[in-house]
Amino acid sequence: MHRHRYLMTSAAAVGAALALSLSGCTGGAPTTGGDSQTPASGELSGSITFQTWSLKGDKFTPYFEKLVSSFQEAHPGTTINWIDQPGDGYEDKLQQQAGSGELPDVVNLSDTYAYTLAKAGQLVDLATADTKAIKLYVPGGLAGYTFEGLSGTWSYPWYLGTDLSWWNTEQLKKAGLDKPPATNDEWLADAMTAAKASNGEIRLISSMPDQGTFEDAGVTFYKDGKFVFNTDKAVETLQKYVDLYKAGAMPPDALNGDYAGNTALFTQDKVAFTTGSSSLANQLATDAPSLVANVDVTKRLGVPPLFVQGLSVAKDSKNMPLAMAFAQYATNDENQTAFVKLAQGFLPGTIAANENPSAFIDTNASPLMKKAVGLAAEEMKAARPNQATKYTDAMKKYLAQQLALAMQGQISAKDALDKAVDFCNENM
Amino acid sequence: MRANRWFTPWLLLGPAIIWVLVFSIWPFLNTVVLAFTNARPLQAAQFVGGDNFVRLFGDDRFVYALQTCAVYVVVCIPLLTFLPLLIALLVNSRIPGIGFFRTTFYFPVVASAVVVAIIWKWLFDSSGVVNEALAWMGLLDRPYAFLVHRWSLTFCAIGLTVWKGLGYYMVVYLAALGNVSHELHEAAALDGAGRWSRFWVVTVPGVRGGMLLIAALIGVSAMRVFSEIYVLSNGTGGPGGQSMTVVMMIQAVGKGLNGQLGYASAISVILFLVTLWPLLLVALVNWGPQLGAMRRQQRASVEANRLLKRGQAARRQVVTTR
Amino acid sequence: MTRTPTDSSSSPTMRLFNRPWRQRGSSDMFKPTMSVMILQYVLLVVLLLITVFPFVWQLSTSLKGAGEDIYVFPPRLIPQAPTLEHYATVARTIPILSYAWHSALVAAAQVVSNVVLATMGGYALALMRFRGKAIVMGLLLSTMLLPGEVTLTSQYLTVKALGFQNSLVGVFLPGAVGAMNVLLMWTACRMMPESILDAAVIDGANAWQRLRYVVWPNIRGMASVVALFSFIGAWDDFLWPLVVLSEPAKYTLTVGMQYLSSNFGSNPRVVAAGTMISLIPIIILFAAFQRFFFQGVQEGGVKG
Repeated sequence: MHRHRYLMTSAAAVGAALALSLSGCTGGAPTTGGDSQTPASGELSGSITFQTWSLKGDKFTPYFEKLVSSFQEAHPGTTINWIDQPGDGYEDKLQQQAGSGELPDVVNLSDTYAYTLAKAGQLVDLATADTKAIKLYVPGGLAGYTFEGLSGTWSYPWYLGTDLSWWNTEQLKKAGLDKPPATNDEWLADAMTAAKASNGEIRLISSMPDQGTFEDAGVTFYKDGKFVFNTDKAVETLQKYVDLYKAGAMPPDALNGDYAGNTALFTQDKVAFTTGSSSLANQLATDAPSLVANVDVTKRLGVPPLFVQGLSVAKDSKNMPLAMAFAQYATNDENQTAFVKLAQGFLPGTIAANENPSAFIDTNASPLMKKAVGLAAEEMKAARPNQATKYTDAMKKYLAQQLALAMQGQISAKDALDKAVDFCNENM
Repeated sequence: MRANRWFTPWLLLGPAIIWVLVFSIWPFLNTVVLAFTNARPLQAAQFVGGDNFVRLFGDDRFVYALQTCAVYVVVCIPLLTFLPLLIALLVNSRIPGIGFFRTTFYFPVVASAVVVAIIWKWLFDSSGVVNEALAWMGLLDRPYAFLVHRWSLTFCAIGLTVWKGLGYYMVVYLAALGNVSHELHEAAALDGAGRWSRFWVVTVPGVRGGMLLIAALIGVSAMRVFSEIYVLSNGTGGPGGQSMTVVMMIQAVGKGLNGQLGYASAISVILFLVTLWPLLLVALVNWGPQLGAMRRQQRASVEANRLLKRGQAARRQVVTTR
Repeated sequence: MTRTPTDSSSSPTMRLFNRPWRQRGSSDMFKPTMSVMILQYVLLVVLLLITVFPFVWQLSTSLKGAGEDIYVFPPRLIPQAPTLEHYATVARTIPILSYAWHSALVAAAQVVSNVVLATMGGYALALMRFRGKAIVMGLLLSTMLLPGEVTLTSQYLTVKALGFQNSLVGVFLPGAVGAMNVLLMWTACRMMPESILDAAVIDGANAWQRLRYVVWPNIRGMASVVALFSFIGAWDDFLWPLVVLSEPAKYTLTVGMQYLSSNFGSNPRVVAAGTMISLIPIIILFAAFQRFFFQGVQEGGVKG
């Protein structure tokens, strides 16, 4: 579900833009990083399993098949079994795999999953295992896989993403707004104006507040091993949303708090605003072509979040040399560049690949897509990695549930936040 | 009378008993033990006594879950106890084409709950067929978000459960109706009883045993409802998780890399205790006399066996001493 | 199909002139009057619409082209530009045939094992006398109370200990014989008249011969009910195969379908095509065997 969000709806643009701004290099010159990251020893043999998450399909399957076959050609006698798990239930799958000592040798993990598995001693500390290769990756990505209280780096950054703001300009016009708001405060004010002007027909809020919302408002979310987001400032922020919901600025559909629900509402023309990755441009083109002409994209309001995906190596791998070699190979400059060329809007996780952005920008992209990718790349530099890796899905869900109750007026904003903080601290 | 060696019944029953022990009883005992620990995936568990249970009664999610299940039970039992009986009566006649109707009425049972719930989700979505239909009839000027309000979501799920259960219980009633004596109907008809009064005087008493069992089964499965609400709410249990059911809560609490297996197990144990009652009640009413008779019969046969053996022994003795 | 030998008017000449409805003054009160019968058909058709509409709508959705609106009312059930494209997309995304084959294998194995083992168990329970019978009955009944969803982890550990994780055998194993099915066969066997069995014993038939030649012909109807329940249960199961199988190459149909909703969450037409692929085989199967099924039911099985 998470991954799905990253790839399809939310964060795609980061990489490309960074690349654009970093260099004026134009040629598609082959990058040099590829081979240097793979151990030179020709001794690799045997087989390993390589597990990705929700990437099987028309778009990515050929990429992975080629990745595997080219590795096998370069290292005769090796076999890489690529498997992809469905997006739903990936966490359960990991739990069961780790619990029974069956974690795949090379496994695709987000930062939160990597944290839990690293804590349980299931992953290889890549910073100690290979001091050379680890230096080739972008610091922001590595930071995502370095955790408080655990020394080490637990994943090779594979691709990075961030969010943008998407606006339905036609709806904005109807509400008397001629341009999208530029700050969070403006946005909330506009949302109220639009809701009142249109009698709740035009809605600028498409999702409930979350960690980022509070952090943007200057609330510390997590500090010194404790969740502390029930401050007065947070209550004030939440109260604004409660009032907005009452005024009709947010559709009830958003109360369920399911992932990617906001982009779906946007695609269905039910809301005038959503956050989403640059890949939303493509999604709109296929799912709601009539909407595209009226869509504008701007930078994410507030501080943009940084999403990371990485490849980790299982500690129990029976073929460690091969697992390490393949994890590095799959995340080397050349292969990451090829990957983000497909996953438009994401940035590669190595330093060298980011220096050559033209290599992974799709020249056939629509103007909207190009704009989105450009914005995301720019935004990426300021993107904020998730500081609270102890913030689990269960906690997110509980917070969302309490917020929904507050929105509906069943409990006060203060109670909602207090309860959520208690829950998070009890369940660490 | 039966010419069996003592182990023959055990040979025949062996596989079933082993399966039940290994795949039902053993995992259940495991769950009971876990309920008293703070078990989590990938970590060593510690015994925590009754903490999980204490915590449960202070957890408002559990209160919501119980409320949702209670409404489910209260609404489902009458609907699913009577509607299928009426349908069974409707298809129990021998008019042309009735086989076709019976078969199609069973289709919802055959389809998997997940598939059916996906279809229903599209029907009740805020831009779904139901909203379009209501708008078309002029009953709604703005779509109603059925799936994001606590009780409308619950009732959509109940509708789904009822729709899917009609065929199943219809079949159970068809079996029971086979036992309602035609003579009684005829006698009642001769006495001048109309269809309506014959239904109450002859049919209902005739299927009462089945009805009770059906009601209990519905109650138990309503307590355990999961897929319907899970799929209809995208796994969230509605706004605030208020439409979560008990099994959904077990799943939500226990799943994932940070799942609380101990706490989830404690909820399972409570669920087991709650569902035990309706079935025990039915078992007592329905099978009580039978079980008693069985026990008496068995005692008698054991006694007879002993007498027989003693007799044989005595005879043997007689033979040997002779 | 509407007549059975027990019908009141069974003389061949009468049958020609028989109407399915009762005429005024006729003494056969089990035959409805004309007006009642019309009402009956009206109700049947209403019910039919309620039960099959969602399926038909789903089928039509799966055949609609990309430009067609799905949600309009009144629903357009006949696609304007019918296409099989979405089925092709499903087949391209997941190895649908091999997934269906896995589902079929597991389902077939469970049908066979359930029919055989439940018949044996039911026969022993109903027609043999032995010590501990009440305990066995209690054991079987109690399992019907245990919520299966919550013992999943323990079950997985058991299957893993036996060495069957990530295999279709592991998927098959826990459902190989259900307590419910044993109880169903028990009720069917109880209907057997004792005298027949006694006669068989006197003729010198052993336990196996009695089961095969005397009991079995009488309980075949219920066996077909057990077979159908087992098939449906195995074919529709989602959670358990998801837990047991870790390699996508071994997935069953229901688990494999998850790829559709994760990769094409936004295209209902493809999801609809996927659900139809899992639905159609089991509906055809049921329609083909419904006669045995309803016959089995009416032989007096599933009652309290």
